[in-house]
Amino acid sequence: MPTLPTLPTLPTLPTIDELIKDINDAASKILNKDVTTITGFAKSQQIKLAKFAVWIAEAEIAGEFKNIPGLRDEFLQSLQDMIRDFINTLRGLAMVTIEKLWNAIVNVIWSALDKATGLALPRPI
Amino acid sequence: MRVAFSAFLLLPVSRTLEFSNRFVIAALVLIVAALPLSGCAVKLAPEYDKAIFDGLAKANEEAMTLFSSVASGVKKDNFSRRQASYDGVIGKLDAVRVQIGSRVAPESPALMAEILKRTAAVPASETSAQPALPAVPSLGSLDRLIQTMTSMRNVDSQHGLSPMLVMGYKLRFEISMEQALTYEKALNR
Repeated sequence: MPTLPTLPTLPTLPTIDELIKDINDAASKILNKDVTTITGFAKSQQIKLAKFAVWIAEAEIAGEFKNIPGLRDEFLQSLQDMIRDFINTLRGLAMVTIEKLWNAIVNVIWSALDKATGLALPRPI
Repeated sequence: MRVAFSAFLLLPVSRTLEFSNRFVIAALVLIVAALPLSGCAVKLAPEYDKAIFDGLAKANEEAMTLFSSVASGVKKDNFSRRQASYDGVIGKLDAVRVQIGSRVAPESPALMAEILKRTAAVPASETSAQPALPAVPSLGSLDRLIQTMTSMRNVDSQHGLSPMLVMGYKLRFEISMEQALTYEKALNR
């Protein structure tokens, strides 16, 4: 009786549900941490900016700017600049989060592709 | 192409090798040189720099000491006692600003740039009239910190400082410092 040739081992193919779960796990881990940081920062900045705006009004009423030419306008300009910096910082923090999400999701999907094909496929950049 | 050309020129081959052989070897060198690039993770923000974060923390500490020492208000007559403290804080902030400005900012890869462009809330044509925001947010916050301390020093030297003015300068400083520290810390990913 002739012996049958040994079949090559088939690669492990992930199911769509498994892949979705892995992507979701990787993204959720990053989002949970980063959203906490970003919302905490935003809340703290809003409180400080509100305090500063109230301070400008109080300083004006108390006559703090009266004897120093240009100081009130300088403080008002600084308030405007700091609001702009705040928004720009939020944008910068969001970019860091997007970067982490992109790399994590690409890593999960390409790892699954590599495992399924037995190859080291080039990753998108 | 430059790598391929250099590899072609520098290959330690004898003159007996045919042109086609040289070309094949140069192409292989190019492929090997390019391989690590394809495995790189996407970078949309600069690398974390501990020296920058530590420099900010140190400037913050010195500024808080200065704010504390003038909290009850001061007269311009004894400004000379505080001048070194102001100069120290401003000098440290300036040094950190130079470090942030000279740090290499990554260019968005073409694919990410396209995604960001397509998902932008405001079309590029509408934003072009607006002043450009610095690519590294902490750079703007550092400008503000330096402006705040310089203004406080000038007012102190010419008029002295009331407790209320000190409070206002401290609030200004804290807002910008929190922005810079939060962003620089977030880069440590």
